[in-house]
Amino acid sequence: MLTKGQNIPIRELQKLINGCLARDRSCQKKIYEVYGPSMMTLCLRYSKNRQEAEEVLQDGFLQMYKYISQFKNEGSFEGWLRRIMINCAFQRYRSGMNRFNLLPLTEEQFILSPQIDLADRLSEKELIGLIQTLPPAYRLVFNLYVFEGLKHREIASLLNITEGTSKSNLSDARNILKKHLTPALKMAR
Amino acid sequence: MDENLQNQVDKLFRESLQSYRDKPSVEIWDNIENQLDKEDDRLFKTRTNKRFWITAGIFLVLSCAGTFTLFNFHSNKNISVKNIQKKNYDSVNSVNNRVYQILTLPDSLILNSEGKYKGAGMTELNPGNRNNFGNKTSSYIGNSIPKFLNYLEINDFSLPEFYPLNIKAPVPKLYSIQFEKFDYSENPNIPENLIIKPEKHSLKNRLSITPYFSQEFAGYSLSDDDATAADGQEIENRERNVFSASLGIYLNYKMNKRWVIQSGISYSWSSSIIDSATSYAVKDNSGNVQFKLNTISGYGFLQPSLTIQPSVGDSVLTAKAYSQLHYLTVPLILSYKIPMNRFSLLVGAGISFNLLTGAAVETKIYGPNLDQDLAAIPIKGLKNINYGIIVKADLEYHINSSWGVNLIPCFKNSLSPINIHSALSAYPYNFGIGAGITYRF
Repeated sequence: MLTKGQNIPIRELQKLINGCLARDRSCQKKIYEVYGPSMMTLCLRYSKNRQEAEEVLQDGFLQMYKYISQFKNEGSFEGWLRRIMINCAFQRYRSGMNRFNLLPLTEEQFILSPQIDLADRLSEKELIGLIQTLPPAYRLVFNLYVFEGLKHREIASLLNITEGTSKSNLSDARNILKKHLTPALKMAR
Repeated sequence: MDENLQNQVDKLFRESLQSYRDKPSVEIWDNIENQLDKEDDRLFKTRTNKRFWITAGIFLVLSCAGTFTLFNFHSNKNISVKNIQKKNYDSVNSVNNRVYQILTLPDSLILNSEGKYKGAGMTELNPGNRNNFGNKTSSYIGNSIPKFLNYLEINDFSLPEFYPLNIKAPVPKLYSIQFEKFDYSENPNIPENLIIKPEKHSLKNRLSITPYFSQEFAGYSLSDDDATAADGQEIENRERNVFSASLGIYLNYKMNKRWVIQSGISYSWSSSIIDSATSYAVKDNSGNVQFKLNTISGYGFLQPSLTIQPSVGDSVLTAKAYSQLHYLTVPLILSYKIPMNRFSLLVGAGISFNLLTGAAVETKIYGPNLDQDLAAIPIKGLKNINYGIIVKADLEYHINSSWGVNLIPCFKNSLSPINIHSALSAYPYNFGIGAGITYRF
């Protein structure tokens, strides 16, 4: 049974999905308008910058339109779409794995990171900017653990790494983020 | 790192970004739309190509068969001596006190338009055997067919001088041929029994009929390319075919030994069950508000007896519904015959034209203060005529020269949708197993 979508009644969502099945352009656009912003946030978290995030978003929506017949009207459409986006981000990570620096950022690199306004609480854009500064492998593990709620065992299986590596990557990611966040966190306390 | 701090890092990111939405750039949708346009073009070309190749394939098969048939019919204009043998079989059964049998000459024993004999393996005629050759009647007896037939002008383009009246083969090998010379100046009217006509099969001999009954397993190929396809998936999921059958008669026309054209007529019906669903009130074409029940093939307007006119958007619950479609089908099939002793297999393909003769649905509706049976609700949105391809194999067991029994597996697939202005474009297909009886005239 299809579950309620994001700010959209089930019946309306079902109509949009059927429209996408019929390759109705207005329905395709409507679905993009409804889910585009939330998926963009997801893509920004998984990418190193906005340009890459938009490329992932574009690939993800194209994949969704192509394989929408495989959506069985069971569970959440948004959840299904999120999995597609994450897969696209993961594909991009794998295809560029050799090019990426898998080592943690050095102190010098921190200096090059975007300046964060810590006078007040960090804005969402700044938080995303922080995640984007992480090396790809750390960013992927951090996203899967913190936002998707996967266990280290599941992450290890998905990324074809050991559980130890997953834990180590997460820990390193947190360390990097902590260095930026410590003042803000102290203020928050 | 302090575990509490770790959790705070996770929590900060999770909670801060939970409700955050970032609008993508405007050009992203433009890029997606461009890609979708390309994909749509590709799909359209693939679909068009598929239909083109099916049509081209049928056209090619029909063209080849037509050419072959024309060529074969032309060949039959040459003179065959077979019919002469048959004509005189009863009159002569012995020569020189020896028993003879009709010689079944090969098809190649044909005199061409120049009067030349086209057969092979002839021996030179011994002139001594030409008894009274040149007189009214002549005869020849020898151990092979005489070569002097080369000199006889026997054809249907120029008037013949000599006609072979009897060609008989003794047992073992001895040929006896009698000739008669015909003088046109004395008798311009050629006696009917001397005219050698091209070998023909009468129309009657070429025809046979096969009444049959076929149980079918039916389904639909669905396409949601209709703009109103909002509920297509739901409709598809809740409807299933339960029974399909055809009763009909094939008229078979034998073009030659191998090729057969089949046509005829059949009556087919198909029943489906539609699961219970909610029907909503909509405005029909005349502006009246009625409850609309969607089916794969079309839709029906439910007209319960209500004290208050329903408003658009009102709903009633329909119980399990039964829909029936009835069609008259006229096939046109080209078949190739493969003889196998007492069996023969006709393998054919062609097109069928389907004429809608009836479509109705019956159900029961429930609602506030409502519990009512509704029968014979016409299904709307159906085309009166659609067409499709038909592929069949017809295995016949020949009981005797006139009767045979048939097993007829058959596959039909509609090439045009059966409906229009419906939630789905439906292309029915079915696989049938039929049984029939063939009678040759």
